[in-house]
Amino acid sequence: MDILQNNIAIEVEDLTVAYHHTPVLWDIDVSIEKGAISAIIGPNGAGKSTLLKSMLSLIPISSGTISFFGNPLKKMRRHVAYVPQRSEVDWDFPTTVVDVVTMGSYGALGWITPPGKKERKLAMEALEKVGMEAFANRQIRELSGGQQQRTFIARALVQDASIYLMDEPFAGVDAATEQSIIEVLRELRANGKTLVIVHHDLLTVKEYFTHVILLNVHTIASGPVHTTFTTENLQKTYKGKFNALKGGIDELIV
Amino acid sequence: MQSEIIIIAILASLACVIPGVFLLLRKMALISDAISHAILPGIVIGYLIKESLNTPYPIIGAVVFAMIMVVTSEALHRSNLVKPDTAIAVVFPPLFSLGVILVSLLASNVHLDTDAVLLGELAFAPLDRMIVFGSSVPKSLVKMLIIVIINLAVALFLFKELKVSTFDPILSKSLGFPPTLLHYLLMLMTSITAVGAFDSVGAVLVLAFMITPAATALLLTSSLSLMIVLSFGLATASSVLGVLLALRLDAGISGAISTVMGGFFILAYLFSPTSGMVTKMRNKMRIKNEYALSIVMYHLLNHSTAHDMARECSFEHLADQFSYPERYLKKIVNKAIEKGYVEETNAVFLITEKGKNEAILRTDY
Amino acid sequence: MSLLYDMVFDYTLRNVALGTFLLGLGSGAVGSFMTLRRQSLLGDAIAHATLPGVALAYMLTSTKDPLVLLLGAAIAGVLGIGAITAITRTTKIDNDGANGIILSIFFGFGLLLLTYIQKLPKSSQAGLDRFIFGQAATIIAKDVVIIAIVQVFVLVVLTLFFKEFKSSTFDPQSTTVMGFNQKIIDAIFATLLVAVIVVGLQTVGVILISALLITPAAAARQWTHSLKTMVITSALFSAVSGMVGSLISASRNNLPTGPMIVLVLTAFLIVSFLFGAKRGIVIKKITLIKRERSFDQNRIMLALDNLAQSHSDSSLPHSSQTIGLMVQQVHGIKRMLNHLTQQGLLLQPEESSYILSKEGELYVERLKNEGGLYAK
Repeated sequence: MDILQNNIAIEVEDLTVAYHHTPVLWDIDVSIEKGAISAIIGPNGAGKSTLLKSMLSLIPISSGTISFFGNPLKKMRRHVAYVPQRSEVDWDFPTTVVDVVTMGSYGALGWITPPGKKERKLAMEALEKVGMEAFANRQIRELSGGQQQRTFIARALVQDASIYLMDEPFAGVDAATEQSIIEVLRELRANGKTLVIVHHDLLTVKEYFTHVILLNVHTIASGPVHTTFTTENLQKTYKGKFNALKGGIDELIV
Repeated sequence: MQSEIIIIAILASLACVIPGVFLLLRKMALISDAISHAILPGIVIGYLIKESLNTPYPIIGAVVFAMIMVVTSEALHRSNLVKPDTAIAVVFPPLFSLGVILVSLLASNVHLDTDAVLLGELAFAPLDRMIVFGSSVPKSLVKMLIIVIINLAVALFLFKELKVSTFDPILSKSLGFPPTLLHYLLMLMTSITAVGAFDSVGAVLVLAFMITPAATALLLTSSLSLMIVLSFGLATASSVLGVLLALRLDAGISGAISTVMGGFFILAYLFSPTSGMVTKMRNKMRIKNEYALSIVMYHLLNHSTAHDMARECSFEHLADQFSYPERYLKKIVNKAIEKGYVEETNAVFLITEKGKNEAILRTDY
Repeated sequence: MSLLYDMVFDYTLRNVALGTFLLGLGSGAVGSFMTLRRQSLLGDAIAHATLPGVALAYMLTSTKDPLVLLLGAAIAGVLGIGAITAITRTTKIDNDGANGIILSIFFGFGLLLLTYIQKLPKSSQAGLDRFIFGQAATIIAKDVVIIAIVQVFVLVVLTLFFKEFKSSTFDPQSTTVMGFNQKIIDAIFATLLVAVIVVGLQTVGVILISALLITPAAAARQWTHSLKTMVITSALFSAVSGMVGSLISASRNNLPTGPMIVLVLTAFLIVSFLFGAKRGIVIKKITLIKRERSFDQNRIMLALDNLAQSHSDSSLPHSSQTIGLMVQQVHGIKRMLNHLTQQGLLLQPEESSYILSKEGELYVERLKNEGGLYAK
């Protein structure tokens, strides 16, 4: 576990991702401190999800290196958990909530070994943490958007990782869910976990996050919220679109 | 006789290509397979009415069953019972099975055998003839010609509508071309073509005629009209070569045409100038070479004034610095020398003025 | 009854029944995953793609030994899957298009070879075209042994990797992140798919074998929301249909096996669509009616509460006409009022006049807390 003492949890260097001949991400350099809750912010098509996925080797990268506590992903899988966008899976799949959450233990189990009582117990504990224990045996297709999201977060909790990468966990969820998710995230942070979250709501950045990565194909700026989340940087990130947003968020920006 | 077979084959493939292009672009290629199987009971029942295939009844029966297939599978996935691909996969087998069983049960008094329906036999097509304007011509030739004309007329007349509804259904709706109507029109066209082509081509290979030329053309161009023209050319060429191949081997014609179509597809897959594998590999190589050249020059640029230049800019050091195989690195360095970016003196590589400018240009994006 | 008697004592029928039963087990199980992976049409493509393998194996070896022919079929099937994957990965042709191209090119080539073999002197392709339609009556003890071995292999592998298949079908990305190589999972699955298709060819034929994979899975899905139950149910549906269909086909001349099995499978499917316990049409309709009724019931209760609050004397009962005016478009309002009275939620102090009971008041209070009309 010594490697986890490293102060830099994630280091992305010279990352370029191209789709066909157009670059989606261009020469990205980001380094994320251990214990930070970082938001990836940027307009639509800025490559936010692509950044997350290329960090996880889910899409091929054209160049660059990504390391987790100084090591490549291959060595660090046990320590990295991913929460995809809700819309990326088939919620009509025949399975129950507790089953989905148990899937979080599959990585630790490795090939072939089936999950047992211990894994189920871990899953139930994770469900309690997100306030979903009453829904354990529900079919996943009966869940609301917020409940689906909490199920996904519970699955990530089961992995007991050091780094959590989440793609839009607050998209399309109700206020109560948003609150309960942010509580879970804060508790994770209190336990020394590092969180990177693709986020779209500028209004809550200051309240929820410690660090921010402003992205629009290039890294516009990254660092602590109080120095990085500035009008100037946001203008660079959102370009023309920013003026339309500006009026409402002036007071939220440092 | 031989030329008649070739003409019928060409007409059948042209007729299939027209709906095929649109089906492929609408990501519905396999619906043509499903339709060509599902029409079998309709053909059999239509045949039974007058014990002949030369009445309109088999066509009517086929269209009815094609619509049963389309409507049922759509209803199944719309009612959320199954997913769209599963809906197709569960509807056409029982219809086809019904057809096969009907044929088998009535085999003794029916001149319609399953092999012929499924696999077709173009060689026999010229035997069944009719008199048109005083001259004797094969019936299937007339039939396929009519279908080609109908399909061509529909495609030309509704080209814009079909195009818009294929690429942007929402825009199509807002422009006043109802996508659903065009969808059913296309389904109708597909089933009439399938039933017309089945006795020469066979039900199974209607799919080959519809999809393969269109897919080959798609690898060669991204313009819809050019794609249709290319598909016509590929279909015609495959038909001619296929018939000749079949006669040469004394083997089934529709299988031979499909094989030739497959050959064209493989050629396009490998050698298409726009999207073939060879072009892609070459592009990949080129990008890799350019990248290697850039970073080598960047390194030389950074060390062009340093005191340790002699060491930093030797080949041995470059080989240490970059994880490329020596031979590859040599090739890259030679290329740089060739282009006048780098000069070699006493086994030390020096970047030239021209090379400096190029290196700055390349790394400053 | 005589069919049952023959099944036990007739050698041929016993082989047929056993062979097709076993065949269904593996294909139904594998098919469940195919429907969930949105690959319902892949089986059809791969089955057709095996034909040139059969023909070439015969041309090269001049034997009709089933093992040789099946090996040829398997090789062609694997090549077919590889080609489909390559086309979808490297071109703009979609999955449906790639399936269609490989299906028709391979099958067309196979047909070319078959018709070529047919015309060769000294050889007959009799027995080869059996692969197109399938013929159960020709199953002999040796075939049953081959089928049994392959099905055991398929079921064992499926059980061993159940966790991996489940997770990668539901959420392939997270499964990859957890360290499972998607390509390895896909390759194992492809092996199973080719195995069940290839051994089924002789019985069901290339054109209809995909029904043995997909139809039972679609039927099983209507009965359960658990993946494990779905896989087992699908396997059983497929096995029973395979056996029943092939026995019917064997019992009469001129009844081809593949089509008969497909009709039995489809009968299972239609029953499941209608009466499936979890998603079937009937159960959905019943749920809908129940929901509508509880909605109407809640409207009546809230209306009575409203009436009580808006009158100075809240203990005054209200006639069914008044209630009817407040809750329009409720059918059978009198019946519903009586029903609520029987449940003790309403009191009926006079003929056709109603008022909330103590229990009814509690019920309304709970309703208001839990989101009004839509609460159960």
